[in-house]
Amino acid sequence: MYRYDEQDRQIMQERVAQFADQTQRYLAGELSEAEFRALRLMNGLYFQRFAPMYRIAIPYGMLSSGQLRMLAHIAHSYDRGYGHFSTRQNIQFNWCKTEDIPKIFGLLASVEMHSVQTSGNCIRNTTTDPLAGVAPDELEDPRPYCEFIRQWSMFHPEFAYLPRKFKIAVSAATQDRAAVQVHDIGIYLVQNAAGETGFQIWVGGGLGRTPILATRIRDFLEKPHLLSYLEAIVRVYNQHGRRDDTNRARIKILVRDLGAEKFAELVEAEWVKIRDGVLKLEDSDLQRMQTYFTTPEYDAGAAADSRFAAQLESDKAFARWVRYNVVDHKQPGYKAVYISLKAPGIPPGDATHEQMQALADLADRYSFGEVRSTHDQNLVLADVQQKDLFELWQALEEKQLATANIGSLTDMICCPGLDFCGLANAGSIDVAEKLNERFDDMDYLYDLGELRLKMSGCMNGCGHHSVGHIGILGVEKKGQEWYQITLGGNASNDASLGDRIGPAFDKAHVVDAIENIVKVYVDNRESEEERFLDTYRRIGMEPFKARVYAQEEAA
Amino acid sequence: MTLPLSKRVIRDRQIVEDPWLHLADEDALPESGDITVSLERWQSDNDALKAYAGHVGLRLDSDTDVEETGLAINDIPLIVLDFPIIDTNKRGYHPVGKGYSQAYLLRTRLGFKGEIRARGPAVMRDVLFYMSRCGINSFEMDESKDINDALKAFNEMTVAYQPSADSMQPAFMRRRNTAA
Repeated sequence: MYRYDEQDRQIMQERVAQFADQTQRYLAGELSEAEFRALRLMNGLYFQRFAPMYRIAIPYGMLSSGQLRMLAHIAHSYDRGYGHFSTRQNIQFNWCKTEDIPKIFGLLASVEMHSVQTSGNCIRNTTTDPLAGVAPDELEDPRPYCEFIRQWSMFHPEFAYLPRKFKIAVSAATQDRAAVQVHDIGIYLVQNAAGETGFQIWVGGGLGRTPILATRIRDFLEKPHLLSYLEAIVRVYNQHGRRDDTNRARIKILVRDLGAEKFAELVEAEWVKIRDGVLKLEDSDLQRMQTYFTTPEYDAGAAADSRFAAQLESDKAFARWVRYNVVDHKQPGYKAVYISLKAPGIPPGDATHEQMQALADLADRYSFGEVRSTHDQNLVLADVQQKDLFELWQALEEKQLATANIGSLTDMICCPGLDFCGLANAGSIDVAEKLNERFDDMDYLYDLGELRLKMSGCMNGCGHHSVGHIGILGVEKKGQEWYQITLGGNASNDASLGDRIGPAFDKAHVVDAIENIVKVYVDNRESEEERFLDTYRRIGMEPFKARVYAQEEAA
Repeated sequence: MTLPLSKRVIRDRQIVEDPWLHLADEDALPESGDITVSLERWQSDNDALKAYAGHVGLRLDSDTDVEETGLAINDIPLIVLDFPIIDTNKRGYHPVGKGYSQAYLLRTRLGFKGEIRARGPAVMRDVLFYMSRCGINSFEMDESKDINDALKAFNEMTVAYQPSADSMQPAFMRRRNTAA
């Protein structure tokens, strides 16, 4: 993974000192609440319902075991013992004290981490495929490009006060595991007719109040131009994006209002003026960056192991975990392992400091000391030998980290909701818990297959409800918490936005509604292989609607 | 209404007495002295301004496309950029960042060599460094703000990740030299 050099260290130390000074001036009354607001947000510090929330960047989801231990330490010493992994592959703490933040920032810097631009109207943490570098369906490792984007976007003097937040995702695999098309800029690594690898550029995707999928504006961009092209897009956005209404300030609205074609013209016109300027990357730059993301020293004989096959045969629970949480690896004899942070009774995405410590140790023992976070709020050990899987599974079981539910209904994405967030209109964690109770029959859950349920506690859509196969959106009506349900959303290559099923449900009925929706699927699917999403796309909304509201009336 | 003379500004990282008077569109030209006018007045009152004895600077609002003014920009001694704060949807303090791109384009694309000044409520110590990276070299802050304290802003960061309109060499270019 990327390691800081002298320049990275210098810049981060200076930033820590700068933010410590800003915090001190705020606490001393020299900076007003309003003035400090923009500054603290750009450093990941929110003031919310009960205590400040502090969001720490995990650049494109990569964590070393040492970094994870530091997060465990922060959770233990400065929070209430746990952290929450977010849909931006970041982690946030909900109970830190404002005056402690500069100190925590310093601790982060000591392990080459930071909280810069994890909020505010600026370019946020770039996200990618959690299987980057190990996926069999990958064209090329996307992480060197993510790191280029990380550096280019960090402390960018021109783009610190954009109309609104700005998110970039990169994917290099056949299957999009990074939800590229719901980003302000989405980048796919692709090959052109000549067999060269470059970038396909999409813009104007985003969730929230007005969910819109991104549009492709460039089929192929040569590698040296990555940064100049991004700069052209963001400059056009900074000059033309709306600032009069927060809900119309994202780049998706600009692209929609201008039309993607016109927007692309503006970008190209800007880009031709800078494409051969200082931002142009040289081959040596690309090569230097790639040296940070080399293949670890795999055991060439790993595939010769026969224990794994025997263990699969003899232990049903293990086999089930492997089936759901373990995926193929490009290296024979190795697997990538999803660590579910969706155990029943635990808010989705939460991990305790003991769990983080244990995972850091397991990463050292089994996976070259690295852990990744995923945009669906789980973790990944990306380089595990198949012969070690059984032991790893047992160790994970002990720490409640072996819930075998990846991709299933209970592997839901969920924002912190009304319990923590100052913006939320409705609780989401308690609904998640009720869903877990309702769908506690694991066999039934497995029978349902891949079913992506995503839930947000308000319109801002942090829980990505618009692209859930089943989406749940919490809304407030007359002081009550209500839930709107959408069906048919999807964040992968064939991305789609969910359709609203009808009137919202109150808290007492939302779980019944979900159960009925699931029953309609089971009754209508053509085979066990047909996923919920495919059944929905085939049969449409009517059968779901009929069942769900018939039950409502009878109730 | 004539805006009062700002007493002191930061120019080229020093606190200096400010000679410029920001003239409102309805104000009559003074007898003498250096003034700034809006783009509208610059265009509508061009003959009178040409005949004016003192220097005339140009104030641009943040919506102006600096590449499309049609002016001989390099004959202008001072361009003042506006940095407002808006309270969008009553969700609070929202500094408008268009001036950063305006300054960057004035310096790098139009080759503007004169003084670029940042003015408006969003100008405060903690943004001066980014502003200066984008090519702004003078800063006019609200009197409630401590101008001496603001001078510290320029020394807080000594490394940059990306090129802008200043002379800081970005980290990725410095690495080329060290690797050689």
